[in-house]
Amino acid sequence: MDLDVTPEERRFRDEVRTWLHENAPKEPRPPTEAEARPFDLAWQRAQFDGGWAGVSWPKEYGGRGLSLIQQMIWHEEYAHADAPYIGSCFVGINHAGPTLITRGSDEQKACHLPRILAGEVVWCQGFSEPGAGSDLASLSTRAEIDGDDLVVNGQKIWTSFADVADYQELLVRTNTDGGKHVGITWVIGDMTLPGVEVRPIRTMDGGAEFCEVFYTDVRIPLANVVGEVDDGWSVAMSTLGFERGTAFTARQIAVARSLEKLMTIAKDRPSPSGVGTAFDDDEIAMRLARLRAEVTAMRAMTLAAISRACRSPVPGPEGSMLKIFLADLEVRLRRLGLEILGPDGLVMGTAADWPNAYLRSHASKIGGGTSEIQRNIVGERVLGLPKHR
Amino acid sequence: MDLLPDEAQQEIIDATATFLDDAMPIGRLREGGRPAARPDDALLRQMGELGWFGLGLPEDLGGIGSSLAEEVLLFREIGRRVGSVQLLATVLATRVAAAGGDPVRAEALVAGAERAGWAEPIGAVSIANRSVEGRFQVFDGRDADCWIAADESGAVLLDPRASRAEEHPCLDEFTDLAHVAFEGAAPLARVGPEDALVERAAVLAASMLSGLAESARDQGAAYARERFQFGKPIGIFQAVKHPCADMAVRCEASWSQTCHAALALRDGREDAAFQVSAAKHLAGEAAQENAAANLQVHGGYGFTTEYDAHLLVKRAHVLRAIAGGSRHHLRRILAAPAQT
Repeated sequence: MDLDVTPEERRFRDEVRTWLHENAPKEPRPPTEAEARPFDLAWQRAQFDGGWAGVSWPKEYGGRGLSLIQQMIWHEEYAHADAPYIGSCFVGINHAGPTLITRGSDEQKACHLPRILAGEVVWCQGFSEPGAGSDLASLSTRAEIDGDDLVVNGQKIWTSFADVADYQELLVRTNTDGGKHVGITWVIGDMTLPGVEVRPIRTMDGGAEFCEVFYTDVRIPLANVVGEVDDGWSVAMSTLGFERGTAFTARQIAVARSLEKLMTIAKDRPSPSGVGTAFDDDEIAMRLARLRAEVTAMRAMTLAAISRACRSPVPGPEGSMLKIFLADLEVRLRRLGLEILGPDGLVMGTAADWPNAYLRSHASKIGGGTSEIQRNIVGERVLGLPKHR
Repeated sequence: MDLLPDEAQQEIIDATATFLDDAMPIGRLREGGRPAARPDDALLRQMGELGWFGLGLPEDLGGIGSSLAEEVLLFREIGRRVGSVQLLATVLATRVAAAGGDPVRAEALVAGAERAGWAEPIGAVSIANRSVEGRFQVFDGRDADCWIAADESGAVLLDPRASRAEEHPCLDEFTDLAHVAFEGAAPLARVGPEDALVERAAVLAASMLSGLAESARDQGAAYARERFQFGKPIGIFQAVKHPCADMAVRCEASWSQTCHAALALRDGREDAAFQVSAAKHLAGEAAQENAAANLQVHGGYGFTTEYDAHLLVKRAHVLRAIAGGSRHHLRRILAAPAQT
């Protein structure tokens, strides 16, 4: 048990810090998806040119091939440097790319991996459907084999960046015989194909990152199937937990920084009672203290998860525990932020975006698997409780 | 950087668990009643022979020379089995005796030939000088040879005969409780703030609380797997499964942070006091919340003394009161400099 970093890790941290300081964009990421796409891709290209694209990808596929500890250091420094949210490059770098590395054919890898790394393409994820959310395996977007093509009909939803994406990791139903986990196929979808229609969905924070995607007789070559036809569930599952906790380091630091800012704000704002500052209010003070304890525990949990990942190549359920803990923490932090801001907490577009961040925080218990689904995973895989299915 | 035990540390965990499963299983409290709550003289000596009371003590002071990291592993196992506060008090009393100029007592404590109780200050006390003043709540002190009290000014060993303790029945019937006032008593031994005894105590209490929270989680999950209602094991229902999952999450936070704090304190890091308070607070929350959730999973049986759920509920409150209550630690967390 040891908190110290090695001299090499310290040198590595210095190298990362210097590079990010000199190269991370200083201007804010544009608010609309159409403007954000070129911004995201340019930043991805800059990381590629600097040799920092795909920090978790193996070197043989053009990635940086960092160790887990180095990845954690990278994400920490990324957050400290206020480097931009990965945005529309998220799916390509963190999901589609790793899936192709694990399960793609040589042709698929050669075609797509270099372009993802170099910031030439945007990917989106076509998994959820109106009738298949938490119960993803019940998805029903149909794909019929017709000659050398799959012919796709159906609908996807919650597809972030679909309106600006070039490619999609698409799960379709190719077989209805057998159980619902059988007969799903993972296929690379080209978003420019005829019959693909995208409709943005406005979200409660004013954003339009989410989209619905409709498919009408969309012909996708069978050569785009990753893995085997009907075996897409195992392909989709192969990259679950790919980040193994390191991805949480950036969020942990972002939350820690927000909380420290809130401490400062609380010392500056009048208390709700009008006597002293908000920081002098006992109830607010205790809530800040609890959050501070939880934020530092979040870092300890991340370290524990990474330590575990260093020992075992098999992803454990620690990612689910981190996610439950962090999501709950984020919501309470943002709610307290509004209370401390008082009347300004209701004014949009001011006060360093606290009202907007509050609205956004409601997504943290839903996106990437709801907290309820995570609790099922923890209950069943950590505690051995019986499955209800 | 590694937050998990190495091979040698894993051996400590395994050996401790094996030993305690035989010598101090939680079921002893059901079968043996109150006398089983604290180790008898023979068991205490056995623990002494195993090196427990000098585990984290430097070799030149008569200890084993391991660190706080090894001690937290030991106390997590003790906490899982609702071990007595005397074990925590005795380990820390050994340090005070060894470093505070009482080598004879230190030797007896290391050997498990003597035992200590824990004296928690009630309100403001004075232990920094040659005479001790103030009121204390004493845990498991009745059959102890000395009591240890600590605050941020240092730690002292107190002579139980130097004042008349007023015994009270404790909410936790397996813990002895007394209130006592000292008016100018001379301590048996004393160390200053540089030994950070009160911080070590908080970390060890957090370890016991973490272990207790884990016991609650494991008891709750086991019962949820075995108990059938509506023709199914109740753990299948999300109304039961999700509270069980929350217990697991609290355990993960509590234990990870306790290790974090132990290492920060061991290595003399600047943020050690902050990390220790975060650990003590979160471990206290985890223990109390998990104990209550476990009781609820057990339904009516959880309210009886035929199951162990009630033991955890009660002990959680005792351990939370040791080495600073939650409010004290929350105040320290708030006063710490920016943490980024």
